[in-house]
Amino acid sequence: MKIWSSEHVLEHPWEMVTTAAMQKYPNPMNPRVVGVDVLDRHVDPSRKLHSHRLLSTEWGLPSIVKSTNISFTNMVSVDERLTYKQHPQDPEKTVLTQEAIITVKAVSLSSYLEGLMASSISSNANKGREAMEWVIHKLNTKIEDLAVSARGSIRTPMAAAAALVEKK
Amino acid sequence: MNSVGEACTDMKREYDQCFNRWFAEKFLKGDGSGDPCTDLFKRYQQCVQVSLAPDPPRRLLQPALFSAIPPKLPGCLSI
Repeated sequence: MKIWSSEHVLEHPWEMVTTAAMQKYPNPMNPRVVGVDVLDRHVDPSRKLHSHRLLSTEWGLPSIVKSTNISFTNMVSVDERLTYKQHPQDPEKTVLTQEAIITVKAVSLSSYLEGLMASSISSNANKGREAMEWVIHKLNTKIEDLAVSARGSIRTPMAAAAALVEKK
Repeated sequence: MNSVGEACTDMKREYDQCFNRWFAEKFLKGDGSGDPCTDLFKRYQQCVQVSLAPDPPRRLLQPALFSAIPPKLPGCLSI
């Protein structure tokens, strides 16, 4: 097992970040994600919202892998957790903590390969953060457009964000 | 965004619109009133379960590693 972790500050309030996280896909940085489904969702007695989601991805395996029927899912698994928390010093910012556990079954992975995987996770993490910025920018731009065209309509920014979702 | 089941995409989008609106306008503002999307969710869910039934993704059958490790940060969103 290898643990990789990283911390990053997003210059946006927590409510905006979580709204964007719920609508992260599709985005141009993650073209491999071709489907997102909610398998379960509920609010628990402590008012915590739980969402169990399935992301469908397409990686386009090279033909040699297809022909030899190698399944890497049997050998390597990566569990990743992203946590968004309001910045302790600045309520207009959000701290993103990312953690990954890499588990390899039966095969002893060289430290070189472990390093490669950590590199890959790290670079994907950067793409993920770019994706969040892209989604937030899109939501903010449309909020401004709505505000300009609203003409006296009294709406909070978040309600406007919800309204633009309905327009999609 | 599409659903894993092609037939479910429209139901998914309808549900997503309802959820995103409730999430931003009610849940994030601390409004504890009920979830208005339950019927839409049930319909969408039934479709997804049918789509996944013949070949459920292997990982769904295994508990996620992180579910055994409670997050140390209360009041935050863990995805």
